[in-house]
Amino acid sequence: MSFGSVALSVIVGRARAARRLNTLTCTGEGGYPQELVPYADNVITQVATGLFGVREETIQYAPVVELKYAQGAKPGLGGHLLGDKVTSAVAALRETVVGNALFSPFPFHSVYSVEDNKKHIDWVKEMNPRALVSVKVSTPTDVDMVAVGSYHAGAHIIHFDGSYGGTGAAPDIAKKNIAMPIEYAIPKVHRFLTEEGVRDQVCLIASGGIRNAMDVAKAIALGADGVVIGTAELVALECIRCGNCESGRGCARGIATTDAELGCMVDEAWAEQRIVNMYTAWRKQWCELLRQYGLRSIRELVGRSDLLVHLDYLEEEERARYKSSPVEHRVL
Amino acid sequence: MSYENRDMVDKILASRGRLPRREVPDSKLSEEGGCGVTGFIASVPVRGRHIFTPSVQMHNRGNGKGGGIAAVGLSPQDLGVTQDVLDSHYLLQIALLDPKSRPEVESFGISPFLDVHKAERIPTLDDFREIEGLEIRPPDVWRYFVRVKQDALDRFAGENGLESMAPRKVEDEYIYRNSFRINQEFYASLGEQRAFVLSHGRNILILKIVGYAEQVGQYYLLDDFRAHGWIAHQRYPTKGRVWHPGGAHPFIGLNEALVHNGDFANYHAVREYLAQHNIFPQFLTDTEVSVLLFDLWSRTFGYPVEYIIEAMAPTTEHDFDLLPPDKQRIYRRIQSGHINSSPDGPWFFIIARNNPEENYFQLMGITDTSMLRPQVFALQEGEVQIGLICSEKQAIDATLQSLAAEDSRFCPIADKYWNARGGSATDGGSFIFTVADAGRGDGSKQLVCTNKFGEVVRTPDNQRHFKSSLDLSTQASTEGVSSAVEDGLAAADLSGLKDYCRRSLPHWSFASLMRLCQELEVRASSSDDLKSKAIEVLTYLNDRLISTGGKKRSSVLLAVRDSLSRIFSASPGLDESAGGIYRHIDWSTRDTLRPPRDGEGLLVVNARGFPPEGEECDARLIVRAYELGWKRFICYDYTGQRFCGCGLGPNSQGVRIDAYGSSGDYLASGMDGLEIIVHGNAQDQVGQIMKQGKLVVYGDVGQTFMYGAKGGETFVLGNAAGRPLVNAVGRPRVVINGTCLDYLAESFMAGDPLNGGGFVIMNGIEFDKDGNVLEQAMPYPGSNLFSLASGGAIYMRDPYHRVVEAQLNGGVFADLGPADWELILPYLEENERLFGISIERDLLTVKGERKGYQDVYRKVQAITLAVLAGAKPRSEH
Ligand code: SF4
Repeated sequence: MSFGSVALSVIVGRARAARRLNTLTCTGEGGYPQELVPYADNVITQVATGLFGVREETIQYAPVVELKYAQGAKPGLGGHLLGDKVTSAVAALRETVVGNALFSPFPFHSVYSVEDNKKHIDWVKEMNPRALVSVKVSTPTDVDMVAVGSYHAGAHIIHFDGSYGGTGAAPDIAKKNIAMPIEYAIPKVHRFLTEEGVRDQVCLIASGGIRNAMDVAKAIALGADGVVIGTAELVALECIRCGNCESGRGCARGIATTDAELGCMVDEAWAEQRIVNMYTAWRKQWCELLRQYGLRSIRELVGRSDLLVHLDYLEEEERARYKSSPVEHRVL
Repeated sequence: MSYENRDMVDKILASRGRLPRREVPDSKLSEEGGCGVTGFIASVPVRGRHIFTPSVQMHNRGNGKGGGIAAVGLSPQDLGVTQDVLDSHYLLQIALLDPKSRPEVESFGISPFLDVHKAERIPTLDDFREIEGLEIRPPDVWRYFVRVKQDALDRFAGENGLESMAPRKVEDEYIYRNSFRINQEFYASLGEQRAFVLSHGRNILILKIVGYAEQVGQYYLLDDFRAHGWIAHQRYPTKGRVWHPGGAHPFIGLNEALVHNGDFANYHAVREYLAQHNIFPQFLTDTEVSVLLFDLWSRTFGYPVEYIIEAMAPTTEHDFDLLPPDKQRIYRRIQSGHINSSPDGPWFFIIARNNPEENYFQLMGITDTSMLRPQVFALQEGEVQIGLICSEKQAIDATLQSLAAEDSRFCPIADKYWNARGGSATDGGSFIFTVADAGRGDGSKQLVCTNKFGEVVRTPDNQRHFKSSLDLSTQASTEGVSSAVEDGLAAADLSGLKDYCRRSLPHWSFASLMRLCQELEVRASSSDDLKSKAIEVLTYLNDRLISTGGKKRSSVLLAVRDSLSRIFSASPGLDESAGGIYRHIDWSTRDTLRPPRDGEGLLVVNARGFPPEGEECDARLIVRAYELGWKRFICYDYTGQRFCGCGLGPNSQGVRIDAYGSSGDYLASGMDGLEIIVHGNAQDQVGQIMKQGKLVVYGDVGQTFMYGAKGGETFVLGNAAGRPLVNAVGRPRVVINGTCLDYLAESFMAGDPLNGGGFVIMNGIEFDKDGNVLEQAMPYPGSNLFSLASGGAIYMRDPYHRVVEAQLNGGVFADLGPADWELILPYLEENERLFGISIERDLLTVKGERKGYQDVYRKVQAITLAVLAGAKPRSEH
């Protein structure tokens, strides 16, 4: 969700929301629009394989630098931005040619191994020693090896992007068939890192198909420290999931567009407020959940997969004993 | 393969299928990343200690969880056997993970079938904890010099129908299978792991541990152990706990040891292919299957090396078209027969091997067709010869420095450094150093370097190597040098002195050259002005490819660089009270860093001793110094330290860094304003995301040069390796005087060059040893030029139109008009100023005739591709 694939007002609105909520948002791979600079403390700079708009300066702005190796929605495929979306504003920020599709290669031309990955991370740390380095990968079957390799390469954060994520622009066949679902990947990695004795030295972030507050809680109970939300935020901005994101002027809500006129449909302040609303509502659900379990902080939920049951594996009567989430909630 | 052979091959393979074996998982045991690999082979035996420094310098390519060493062409004295035994017997080395397993191993796999000439536990340090950082006790290794008992051999040949095979080949096969049996019984990957065979070839051995490669040498006391060829490997397994070194490299075939950097995407397919030939891996790594492939093709099928390389790294695309028809015919057959078994994915192999039948030792490096792993080759000839293959140039230099310190016949700088072009028609992506008898009748050996096609790689002959033992003071003929220096430095303009040096250098003896250096050094100590001038003159001699006459260029460079280093290190420290602009800082005085005081302006940084990365690295020191107000830097004595010039932030105009020595990866990556001059070769990932500023490289640049660059001006004297300028946007302006391996400017998106966009000028030239400009055989040899590009242009010097349409994927040849020439001329002028490459005499003159620019340069520009401009990408339909 970078400049070029969604409207600038959406990007800035998300950053403003991140500031109010004391969390982070990410540039995506389209470069760092000047409009984001005031929110730099809450903006992650992404370094993706196309290196579009990535300069030393934009790496130095960031509290967290994310090296995007792969994306769960399309692992093994590079990024692409169709020619129609490369308007003059997009081309200017990425310093490319108007109307020509932009390809991000797969993988990084400079990173073909763990040791290259380490060198890559060292490079980011050299340019910005105060930044935390996050490595974003998809969820291949050996995702546990990838995690421990990234940890040893010096990453502070490991971000797994499972399948089912992605805006409508990710090819369906890729979205549904390549990567491992995140609910398998998280416990696998959590357990492996725990056995290796390094789980508490690295932050695990999950994303991909996490749609609501209870999905977040489940991801955390499975072993993630936190999550990244993409599509749900867009839904908060009235995205209707029509799947037209890839074309330049097809977005009915002016979200996934770079068209100047359509982009006016979303206003920064409105976007900010809608996103804040969504997370505050989610927070209520989380608080309720924690209260029920007697936990004081959501941190205590990390890895508590003992608190989850898999309804599909239960007999009919037993299943009936579980209320479906979200739980009925009261105003706290 | 003749039909007779074929019959024999079938029998061998069929009988292998009868070997009992356990079920092992069909997936890799652990993912592993790239690694650090280094190897060298010399015409004389050299001690194991010389693998030490390069291995240490490549720590950041491994993680201390697997290190290994192989040695070939051993010394009988060091092993306590006669030359005859060494040549004829198999040197079986068994790692005992469980020290108590030895009697069982011996009664299972040795005593009943093998005659043991000598057996010993190889000596080690008393306590492995004496080695700092070594956490896991290396296995006890037992070494046996063995031959197969005659009755066992006869039975074996009879049972398997191999009676008509040459007895030695039968014995080879016996040994190979015997080791398989031992591994099955005592190792096989899922069972209880008690012992495994490290190596079993003739005159070759392997040792490996859970640790770093150089610790192998320390623990098994190899410092003084002599061998012609050595390889070392730093492994980077991603699995956390490793308790034994079974998975570490090198792996043995029969008489060859292989190390590998990279990993395969088609491990499973290669395994299937091997299984079809009744070959079953036991250690479950890419490296093991690689050496099994090699052994199958080489020993069983009897392929010549060229065909093995073709089967591993097929020749494709434009390169295939360039092959002669009969080669195409054979290669096509090889490719169709091995398409399933060619290792796919990034890989680079180094193989050390012994060929006892033909009596030579070899070291070879093979790169994959896409050239995705770093690789550098080097050659030094003269009284002794040495060939080196490493992941990084600095490891080569470290090896040579270590050797030269002990034996003055070696020089710390190689005569030649180069990269291989994977799967190419030019060199085949592989080079082979062969050490064989020199034919002088005294048992001395000679090294020859060839490429895949058997073409010999040479360094200029009739040049002498400098020996420091030369007595310089007695040389009266050096008097003239002294007065020339005096006059030259007095002149306002140094061009007179430089000219004098250029003209005199071919005729000078080493003594005269040393005299020049001394004179310059003495004067440099008297004032800052003279110091700057001395540096300028010596730098000129270092940078320019001028004729060195009968002296080896590497020796001249050594003298010049040593002299420069002495001048640099003579600068006062930051805590000394001294005037002048120069101040010196090194690893031991790094805490003295402070802002520049009155008159001070140039910080000289000795990079040696700084870690290659991390908060303490020299690149961070430069950033801190810059923040304190320093703007001019001279960094010297680099031993591969990375990130030089990174981290200064935007708008660093006015800063200049001069880098001397073996600078490291990611130099200038991110630079946004400053100027960096590299006085020598630059490495991989140079100039990534570069935005503004000027980068000059007096040498070659490595892989992925200026990946994702946004701008800046760059001048490269030599060649670029693979993938320069990929995904570059904005307005980078680049002159590469040599050529590049392949994939130049893929997805180039740098606007319209005539309207402020970017471009690359590729001259396709090189220099001969007399400093004359020559045309390279092909201005651009690769099969992919400007693929998927949507903007920018390439200006290529190609007077004979050797580059053809088929090489362009997304570009077209366009008319080169006056506006283009006006655009590139200032860059060629600057190129002339920097490198002495004359536009008139060198670039526009073709076969002695002055031509118009339109007849010499060609323009490649982007065309609008449907795949780029369309509303939907093809991949979705
Ligand atoms: S409304 Fe449709 S086009 Fe717009 S963001 Fe949502 S799914 Fe994409």
